[in-house]
Amino acid sequence: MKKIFLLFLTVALFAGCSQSFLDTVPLTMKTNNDFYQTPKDMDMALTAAYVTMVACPSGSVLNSYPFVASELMSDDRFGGGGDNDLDPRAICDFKITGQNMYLGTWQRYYQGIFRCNMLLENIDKPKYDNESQKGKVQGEASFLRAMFYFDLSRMFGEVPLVLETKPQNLPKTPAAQTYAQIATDLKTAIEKFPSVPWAVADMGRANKWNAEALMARVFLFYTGYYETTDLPLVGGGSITKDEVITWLEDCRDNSGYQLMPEFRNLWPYAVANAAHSGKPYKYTVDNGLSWYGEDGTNKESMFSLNFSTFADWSTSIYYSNQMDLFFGWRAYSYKGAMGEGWGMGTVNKSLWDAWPDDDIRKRGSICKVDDASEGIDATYDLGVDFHDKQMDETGYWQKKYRPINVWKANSTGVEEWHNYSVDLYSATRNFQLDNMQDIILIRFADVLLMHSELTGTVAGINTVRARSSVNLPDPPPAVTTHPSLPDITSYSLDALKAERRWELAFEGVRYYDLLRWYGKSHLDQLETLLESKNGVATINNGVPGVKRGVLFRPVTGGFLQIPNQEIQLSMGVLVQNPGWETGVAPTYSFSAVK
Amino acid sequence: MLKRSVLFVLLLLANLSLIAQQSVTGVIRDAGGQPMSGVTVIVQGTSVGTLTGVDGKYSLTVPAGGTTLQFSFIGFTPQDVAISGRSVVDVRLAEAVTGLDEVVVIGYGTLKKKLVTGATVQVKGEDIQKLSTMSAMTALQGQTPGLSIIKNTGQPGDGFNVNIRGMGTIGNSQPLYVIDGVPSGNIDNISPADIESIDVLKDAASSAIYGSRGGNGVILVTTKRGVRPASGVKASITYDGSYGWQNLYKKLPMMKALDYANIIDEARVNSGQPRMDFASLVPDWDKIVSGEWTGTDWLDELSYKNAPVENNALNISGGSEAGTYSMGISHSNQTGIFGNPVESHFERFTFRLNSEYTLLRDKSNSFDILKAGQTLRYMNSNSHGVGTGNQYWNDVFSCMVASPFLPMYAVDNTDVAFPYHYAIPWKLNDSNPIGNMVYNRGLNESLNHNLNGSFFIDIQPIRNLIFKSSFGYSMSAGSWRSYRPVYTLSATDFQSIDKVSHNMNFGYSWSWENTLTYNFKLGTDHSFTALLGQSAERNGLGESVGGSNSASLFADFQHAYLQNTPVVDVNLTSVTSSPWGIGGILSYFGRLSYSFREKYMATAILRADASSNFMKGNRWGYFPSVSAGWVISEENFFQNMKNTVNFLKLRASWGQNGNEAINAFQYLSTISFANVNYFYGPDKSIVSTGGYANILPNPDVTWETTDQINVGLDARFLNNKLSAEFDVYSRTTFDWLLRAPALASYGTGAPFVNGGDVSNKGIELALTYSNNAGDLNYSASWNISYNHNEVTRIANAEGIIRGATGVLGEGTEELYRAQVGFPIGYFRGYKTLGVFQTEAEVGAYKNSTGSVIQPTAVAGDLIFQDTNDDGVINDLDKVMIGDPNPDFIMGLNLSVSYKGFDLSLASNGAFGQQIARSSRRWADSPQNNYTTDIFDRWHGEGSSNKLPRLTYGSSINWQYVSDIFIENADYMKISNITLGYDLKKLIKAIPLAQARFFASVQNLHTFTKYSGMDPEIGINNGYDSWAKGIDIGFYPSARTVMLGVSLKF
Repeated sequence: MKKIFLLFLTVALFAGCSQSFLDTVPLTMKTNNDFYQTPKDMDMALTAAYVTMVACPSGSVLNSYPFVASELMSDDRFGGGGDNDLDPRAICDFKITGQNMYLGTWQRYYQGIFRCNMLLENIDKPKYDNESQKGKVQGEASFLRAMFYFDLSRMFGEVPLVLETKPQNLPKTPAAQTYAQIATDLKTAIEKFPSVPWAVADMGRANKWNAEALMARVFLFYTGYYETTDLPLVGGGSITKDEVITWLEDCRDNSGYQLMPEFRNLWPYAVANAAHSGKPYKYTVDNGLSWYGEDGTNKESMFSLNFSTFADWSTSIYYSNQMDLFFGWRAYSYKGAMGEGWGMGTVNKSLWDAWPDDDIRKRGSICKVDDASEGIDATYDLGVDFHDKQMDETGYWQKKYRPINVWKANSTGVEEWHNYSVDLYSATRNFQLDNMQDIILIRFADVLLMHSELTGTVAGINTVRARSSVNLPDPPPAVTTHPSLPDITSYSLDALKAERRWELAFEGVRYYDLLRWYGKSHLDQLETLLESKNGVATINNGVPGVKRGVLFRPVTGGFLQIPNQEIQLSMGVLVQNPGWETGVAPTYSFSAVK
Repeated sequence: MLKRSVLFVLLLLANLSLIAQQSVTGVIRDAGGQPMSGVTVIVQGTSVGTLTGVDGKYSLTVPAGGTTLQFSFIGFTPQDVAISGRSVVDVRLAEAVTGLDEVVVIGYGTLKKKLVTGATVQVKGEDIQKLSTMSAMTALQGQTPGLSIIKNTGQPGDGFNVNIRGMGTIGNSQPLYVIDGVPSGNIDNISPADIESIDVLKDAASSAIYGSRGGNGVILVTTKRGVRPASGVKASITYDGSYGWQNLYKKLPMMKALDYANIIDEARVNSGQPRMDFASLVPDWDKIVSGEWTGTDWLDELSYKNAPVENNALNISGGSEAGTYSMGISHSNQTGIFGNPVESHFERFTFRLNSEYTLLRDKSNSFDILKAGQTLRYMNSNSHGVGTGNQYWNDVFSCMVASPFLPMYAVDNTDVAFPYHYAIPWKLNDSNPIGNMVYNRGLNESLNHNLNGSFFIDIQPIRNLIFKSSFGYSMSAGSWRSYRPVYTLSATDFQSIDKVSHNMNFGYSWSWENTLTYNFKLGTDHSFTALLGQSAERNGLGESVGGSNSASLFADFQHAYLQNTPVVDVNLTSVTSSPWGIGGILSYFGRLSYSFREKYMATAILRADASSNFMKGNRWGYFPSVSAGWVISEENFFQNMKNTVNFLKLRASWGQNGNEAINAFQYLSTISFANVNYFYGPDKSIVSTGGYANILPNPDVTWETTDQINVGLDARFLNNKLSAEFDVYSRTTFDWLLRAPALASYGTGAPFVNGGDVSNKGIELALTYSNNAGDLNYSASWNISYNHNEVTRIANAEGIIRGATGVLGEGTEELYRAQVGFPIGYFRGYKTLGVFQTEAEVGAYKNSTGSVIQPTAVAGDLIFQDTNDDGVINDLDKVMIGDPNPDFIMGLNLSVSYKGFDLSLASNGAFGQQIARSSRRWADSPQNNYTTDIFDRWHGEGSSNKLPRLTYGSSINWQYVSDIFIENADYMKISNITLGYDLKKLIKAIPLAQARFFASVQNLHTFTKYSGMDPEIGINNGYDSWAKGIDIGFYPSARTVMLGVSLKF
């Protein structure tokens, strides 16, 4: 019996240390107890917030990424894509394909907001080297949170304003309150960021100048759409137009950003010249173009989503630029500088028709497939259904954001068509993953145009128009063959509107520009403009016809449907946007023969 | 009470020691007078025993105090014979008809079947081995009611989807496997030849002793133990070998080239597009038109004819006074029926050694005071397979949809795709599916090693008081290696860089258990067994490392090792290593069983478990159970009925179990660094890593609890020839562990919450009839079980857990979900009411307020049900269109033996379930091939009221998830038929105890109306683990013809 008692003693001892026996710690993750402790942790937390931003233009979220949605909903473009890609065409038509069409966008943006909230809640925890280091973290987090809320508010109108990391079921916050938070965050960013010119090493990170430019964009949208004069601040007070102009001028004069001499060298098609490709792109060669690239030469790109060579199908497709793939055409049999993709966002012929021919930006932005300047051969098969079910085909494609190929020997010496990134960055050749163009969200030209718009002066407009002849860098670029456009003599809103349309075409701003120029009480006029897309000749899957079905409803305020799952999970605390209630929201479906 | 028992035992000992030892011999024969070898002879109340030899003879020394000999042999009624001073005891054993005295395993002990109060079923190892299957699970199919075993796929080495009494959770719903007392992952790494018995614990009271892990039922596996052989015989040796040829049982009928062309043109005309100019797009079009060539049948190209399967097992057991041993070695090798030319393949070696030693006997030599023993199993397997995942990672599917126009092989080596044929102009980005399979999924190999062992000691200081301490160790190691070469198959399917991947992992777990058991009687009528125990387990002590790189120096699979890729490239080289995630469970448990004259029985169990998966304070779970049995047939009032009902027992039980299988650290706000990289600055190859809080912590997360009531009846009729077991149960899972969708505006991942309830209710019935007529023995057993599964609570506002989208085709909506009021994983979609035959019918299809419901439809389109009568077809009209959970599962087993011949048949089936089947990607791929089912499409008034017209591209007809994709999948499979003959019966001179030769057919026939290749589908195709019944290109089970031999020495 003694033996047994001895053994049970052992057992009891075991029980005594049971707690430590069961205590385990995560070995590949930190916890909130040992993270947010150092400036390095804070930088990693910031990186995670940037990643949500870059993850938005990928997967199912890509369709409704504000940049993309703004393009598809605008008067410039159609949904396009393949027969089965309903979402882009539904977005173009202001319809839904399901009850949770925008859930991915909603999720990603709130993930980004959560990560910023977490950062700002823990901002005082680490010991910083100096105040400016802390100010930079605070500035970046505030800038990102402002941008996330601005994008959400432009897309969905009023949304719940979540400013804490603890789970909360919140109703919609009035727009004035959300914009006050956005303005306050941006003001914080402007004040906290160090006031130094941009640095190449920090490309991709927000800085003071980005905050100033975004503030102007927010101001213009809020005061335009909501038809007010000032932008409110949290705790009272507001931001006036004069303050915004001051910030824009600070940005224009002190940031170090500037217009580049050749507009067309901003875009990767300019890389497909004889130096880079055995079968160069005719337009590039004829115009002597050479891409500025993304190594910091381009001083016009102020804030961009950066892409890299590390994309992986299963985990991180968003490290590559999926939007470029999305906007590439579906002509797989065509081999040339224009690479293949999913065929979304075909260009409305009316944009081409309206655009003066003497503007180099017209052919610098649009590829008309049968235009002699392009050198696109017949294998493009315009309008042939064999063209892999291209929908909304017009024969006009934008060329700022799309796959660009060069003809070059690969690593085994075989000449082949591949994306320029294979040569420039040693990317793995894979047309779905090798687009790496950065998406420029704020371009210096926009700063100049916003300045013109806010001040009612022509300076900004004319600088943009005349970029080929003024302020040429020393030495001047090799070839600049085009004449500069004539200056305009007096400012008018119409002139400004036209200039923005030409300069910033296909850069994700058009629809929001339209919303703010019309304002919430004049959306019936916007309806007329947008529904003029109906009737434009398009070819669907080889069958010629006309565009039908664009249905802009002023009752929606120009905003989109909140994911219904979110409405249901909130148990009615969150209310659906007008016009998008279940049963009311118009559904986009496959085209019927009738 | 202890004092009294000790006194009692002492008295007993004193009494026994007065009697001297004696020697006994004898011959055991069956009812027909044939000597029986291998019969176990044991002196009752001791562990002294032996086996009869080839001649049926035995001889043993009966220790002092031994008064009775027990004779037992599987399939025969054991007999107890009093020695009564004789030195020769000859016995005739009768074939067993009741099985009531068989001993079953109940977890930390054994129990006579007659005394069992819960719902348990035992399957003998012999019955499993007889079926010559690769895995014991295949042999278990249809053997026991309430146990659903569905093979994931027919790919060699693929596992099983096992549910006891329905799905109780969308988390891990597989039962707990306990092998020789040690909890293990599954039993796929055991050779069926090593199994002594499998016991299935179905109700909560039976599995309560496994507490936190018993919620989905428990499967106890006992591997073979040694028995002391008869004197003069050193060991018992058996060899079993079989060799078989496997073939596809049923092939999907794919469209031939000319039919395919016609169907494509029909779809195009329907969509307003011109007919195809096939002659310019398809090579050898003239031969297709003339009928000289019918196109490539890709499923034929994928198939192997007469794929071999082979099993060999050698078992040796024996022993002496000092101890016993049993060892076995086996080898199995199976080639798959799909995967040509890379063949899916599985090969397994196992080795087993179990032994037990008596170290100390008590003075009277009547019981062992100290015993020690060990178990050891080693398994080594290598396998490789082809893709069986979703539509983008499934080689069967790729071959179903590939165009018959594309030739398999290149004409000559000027083709860049040589030896395969490059894509043809018909569709320049549709590549050769076989080539794609070979390059992307074909060149790989998995190696696995498993070592499981335990060491135990039994201390019996006084008779019937046994202390057992057991230490178990389980190790597993594996590696996976693959090579993807540089290749070109089409304009979009090529690789310009090769890839070598190699991963390895190694880990182990250990457990230590201590139990104290005491059997005692109070008076002569009250028998008790008390068990107290404690266990500690640590798992997840392991690591994985892996890497991939490019530019192999050898460019083949054989040399696909990372050392052969010396160039490190930031874009192409990747390395990783990670720990497995350590966990632990600490437990205390007790059981008290009581029996009054084996007439009234009761058992109470309490187990307490603590798991490291939960936060301090929520770790401990307590799992009680009670059960009782009443052998009514023992009652006096029953005696006049006993001629009709030979035995009748009523059982009832209630108990609770748990499930702790969730991700660890749900109670912490963890910071993840996975896939959050960003790229600042001018260099695209410089990475900055991010970190973010990836879940909202839930400090309250704890056990999932299963509560089950079971009432059962066991009965014997017709002189014990007919036995019946009947059970009714109600099983409810409370605090279901799930990751319920939370508001996206929370901004990060929802943690596991104890957020739902699931109910499973069912009835089980098993009938067995055995009889003989002279030398003819025959038996039939039939079992059937019914289960109803329903989710009764999900703790979010929607009450829904959504399933995957895009399952049945590119861009299709959600197919399955878990939702309150419905079975787990039910299919949701539109109900169709036929096909519009005319335009007039379209106009006439109105809701109650008179609005036309499908105004844009044309003749030939599907009529969708406007469930809510609102005049439009949308999400709100979706209903349950199918349920992948069967209502009934059934097994039927027949066997006949006559002299040396034996014939058996095993069959199993499932009824009432549906399968969602899609053979194409539809919308984005109008050039996918069709199955010949499409001949039944609508193509003119009256031609079909089921399948709609074809279109070239997307249409809601094929794009909406509707009941046209749902099929009833009732089936009954004749899974095995075996005919054997024991040559020993004919030629007595053979120096063997048995020389049985047999031939069998596995998967002989499937009775079903299901149109796919195989209605038994266990795989979830990479979708949620709880998704079931989805057929999007399935690797079916083969039909196998097998020859084999069983030899006993």
